[in-house]
Amino acid sequence: MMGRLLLLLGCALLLGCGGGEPTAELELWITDFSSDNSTRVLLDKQLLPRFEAAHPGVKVNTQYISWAYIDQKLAISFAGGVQPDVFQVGAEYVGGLAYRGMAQPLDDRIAEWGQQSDFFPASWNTCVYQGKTYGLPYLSAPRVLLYRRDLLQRAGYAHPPDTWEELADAAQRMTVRDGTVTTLAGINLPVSWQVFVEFLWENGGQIFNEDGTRSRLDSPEAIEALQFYSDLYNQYQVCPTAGMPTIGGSIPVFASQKAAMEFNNQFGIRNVQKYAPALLPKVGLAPTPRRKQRVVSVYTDWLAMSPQSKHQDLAWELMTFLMEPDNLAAYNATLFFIPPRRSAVKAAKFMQETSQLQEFVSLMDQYGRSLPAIPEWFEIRTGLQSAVSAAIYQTKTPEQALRDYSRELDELLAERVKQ
Amino acid sequence: MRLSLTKKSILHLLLAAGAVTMILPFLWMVSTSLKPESEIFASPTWLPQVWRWGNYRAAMEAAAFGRYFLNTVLYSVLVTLSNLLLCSLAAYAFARLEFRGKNVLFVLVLATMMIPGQVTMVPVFVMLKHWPLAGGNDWLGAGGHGLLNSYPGLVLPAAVGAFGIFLLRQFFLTLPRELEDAARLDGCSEFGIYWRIILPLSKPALATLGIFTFTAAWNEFLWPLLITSKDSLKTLQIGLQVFQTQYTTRWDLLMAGTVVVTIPVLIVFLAGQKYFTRGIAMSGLKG
Amino acid sequence: MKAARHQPIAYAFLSPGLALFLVFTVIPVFAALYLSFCRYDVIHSPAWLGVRNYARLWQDITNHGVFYLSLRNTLQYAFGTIPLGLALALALALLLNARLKGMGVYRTTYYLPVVTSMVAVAMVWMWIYDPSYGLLNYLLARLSSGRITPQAWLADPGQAMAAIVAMSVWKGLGYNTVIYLAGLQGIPEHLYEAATIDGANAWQRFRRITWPLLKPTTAFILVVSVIGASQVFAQVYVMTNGGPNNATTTIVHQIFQNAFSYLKMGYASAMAFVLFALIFLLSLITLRLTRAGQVEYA
Repeated sequence: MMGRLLLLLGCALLLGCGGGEPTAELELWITDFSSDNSTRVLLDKQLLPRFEAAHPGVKVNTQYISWAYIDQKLAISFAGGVQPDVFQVGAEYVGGLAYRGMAQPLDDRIAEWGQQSDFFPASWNTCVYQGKTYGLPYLSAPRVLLYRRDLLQRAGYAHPPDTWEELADAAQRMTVRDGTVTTLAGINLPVSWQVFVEFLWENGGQIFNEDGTRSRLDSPEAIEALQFYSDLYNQYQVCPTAGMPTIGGSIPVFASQKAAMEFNNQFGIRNVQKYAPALLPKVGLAPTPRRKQRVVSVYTDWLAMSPQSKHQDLAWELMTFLMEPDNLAAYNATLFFIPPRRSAVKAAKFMQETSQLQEFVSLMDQYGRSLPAIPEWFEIRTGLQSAVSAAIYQTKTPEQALRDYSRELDELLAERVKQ
Repeated sequence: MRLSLTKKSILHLLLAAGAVTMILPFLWMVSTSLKPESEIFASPTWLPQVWRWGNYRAAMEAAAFGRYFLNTVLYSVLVTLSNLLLCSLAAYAFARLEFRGKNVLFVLVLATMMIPGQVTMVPVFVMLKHWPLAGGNDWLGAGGHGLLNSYPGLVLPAAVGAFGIFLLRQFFLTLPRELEDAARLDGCSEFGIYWRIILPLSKPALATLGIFTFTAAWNEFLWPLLITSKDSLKTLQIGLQVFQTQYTTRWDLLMAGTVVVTIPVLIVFLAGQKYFTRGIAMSGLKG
Repeated sequence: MKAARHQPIAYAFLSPGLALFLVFTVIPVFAALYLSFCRYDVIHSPAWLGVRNYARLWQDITNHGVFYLSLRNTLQYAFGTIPLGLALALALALLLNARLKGMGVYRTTYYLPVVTSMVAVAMVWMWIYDPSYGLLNYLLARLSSGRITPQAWLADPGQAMAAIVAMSVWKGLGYNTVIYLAGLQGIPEHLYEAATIDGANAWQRFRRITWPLLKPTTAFILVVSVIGASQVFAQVYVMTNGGPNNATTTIVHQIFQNAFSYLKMGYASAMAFVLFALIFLLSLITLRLTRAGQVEYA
């Protein structure tokens, strides 16, 4: 009798004394959080307590892991078998996660949930790989053309440049040089594979073929696109030169009035709000110029569920809870992203407060396009960045850079096809 | 050796000039930590127009820095003490004892310093997770989370470093053997020699290793991030990363946090650096 | 038998440290070696590939691919930071060894960069190198009355590595200085006194006493520096992420990307062992050159 009592006591002690153990603990990993703590306050003090109150016995353990370390943490956790239940990832992730079985396909649950139609297609497609959906979009960032209406008008343009020719022409008219130094760049373009992809799509080109097994970067459309990009830098010379703050530097170029136009997402507007608020009324938006078609590239961060999660129903409830229009709107507000569902856009106060943000939404809705889902995106974007850099810095011609990389890309894709 | 006044002045001048180069970025850090965000990039000014001492409080309140501080202190102290003890024992064996396989073993120790931690990280993590009879694991290492999310899991992989063994072995080799030989003749055990003769003579090297190990452990960021998921185990460096995101950096808060986090290590250094000066180390060797 | 004279005692001394070392360092290294012959994406079990990873690395090197670039950059970094860092550290240690008031404060100042976390230091230096608002361009412009135009530094493929080298020398100076300071303590004072009585000046005292007796310390610093410089990663990751145009990617940076971004852990492990071979070779050469060993007192 005594022995059994002691055993019971021992078990009770082991299970944790005082307070009672949660019946389920969910692990949530967030990679997008604001540096001023507002995201963490929103999640830890407002949203998650509400979720826990609605689900007695459930505790959500949130970890904030910046993008610089998320890959390591994900890899190691999956290797060790301690994956998070719900985790946040970015636009290039779906192919790799789906291919390796690191994210759970959610189509049945989504069908039952029935709220897919409320989401913008370009945002939604970021979570889709080979017809199956692996998560829910959380934060969207469409890339558009931002321009200074006053400077454009002075250059003789009553409307934003609509085609490549107009873009080059307007940029040249607006560029101001002082000797060899550009004091006002016609257009601020960082040296980035994302900008190249925009030009590529506008020219009707593709990165891959239909089923993602071969590269289409050696096509005439791709070469023209990179040539145009390079020309803007090297021939027309309408881009920032050394000595101008580059994107990601201290004060962004456009907001510090050193560029008349730029390709950027909604952060371009936030930069102006922050560093040159008086300028805001003069800033206009337009879709990035077309050549054969009009495209607005959209990058979306989204939430995935681990297939090894021991509480998949609860994890799904957490995901859909975070996706409720008000909650989604509040989360996007802390980060200044565009909520990827229409009802959340309506519920978001910060969206109403700045007129340009509504234009982002309509552009995203009309012309939005997300990256094709390919498992090897991380290697591809590094290689593509090298090829683009080589062309812009003129260590190779655009044609040479693309042909060389296209061959590499074919080999890379072939490795997967072989398996 | 007494120095003349001119020599002293030149010395001071050179050192001060160098010190300015060393300290300039920190002055900027401290000045940034006291500015409101809007003022930071206006232009490179040294003195803030508005002195925002509140940045420090805001930085500390952003996360459970009190708890992080305790964790970091515990982690750093444990790792340092463990390294000092275990590395000196091993270094003594390599420097003064004869045994089969000594050189091969020492080369092996050195060789492990030449493999970057990125590729051993995953095996160590898997090992910790499957540690038998820990964290709910059975004796085969299955079922629980092993040593993850625990102090042993944090400390044990860092408890012995090849660098410490190397440093102390090199230092022990330079110590003259007369004292040891005399002690051996007197019948002193090897451990007695180690404890009563070698260690006291090695204060500079031990202080060096102690400071280096403490600094490295204090600034260690990646390993604690990977091993821990509970907030109660996080360290200061993990806490600081919340101020730096992909899209923006709260420079003012980040710098305030960094200044606060750096101060304890500086204190440790100030306390330990007196062992680098003459007078303490050389007792017993003169004459 | 002399060789085994101390055997049992030696093992007693070694066992606690060595046990931990075996478990947490040696075994994972051999695990990584095994993985270098496999395809391992961390999720699925490793699949044996034989020497294919190494063959691909060889191909990359002969075709001047990205691993070749990382090798080149790493060597550039090592040759940039090691000689300069060593010379400066020695000079500084000699100065800081003087018995003057305030030396403690000076020593702390010089150690300050070492003590601060790499991330914070890297960010501060990113600001210093900022093309438009950075301190460096500002000072250069003021000192040259505007003749030196703003440089791109970290954004210029030709300047980025040099910029990282400068920042790394600055950060690591205190570290090697401390080691030299500790080494200087091992030089008996009476040697200097005897030399001064014999009429030797400062330079002769340095050449005949200090430098030779510091050889073991110098050898140690060199080997440790070679090992450390070859594995440079943190500052590259934070400041340039390998760019611009692969101008600053280093071997460990490639290992990191391959292991965790591309989930090619096997390939990354192969890179690690190529790096190991390189470091081993460089260390051997260094030890040969300095012919380090025990120093006899006259």
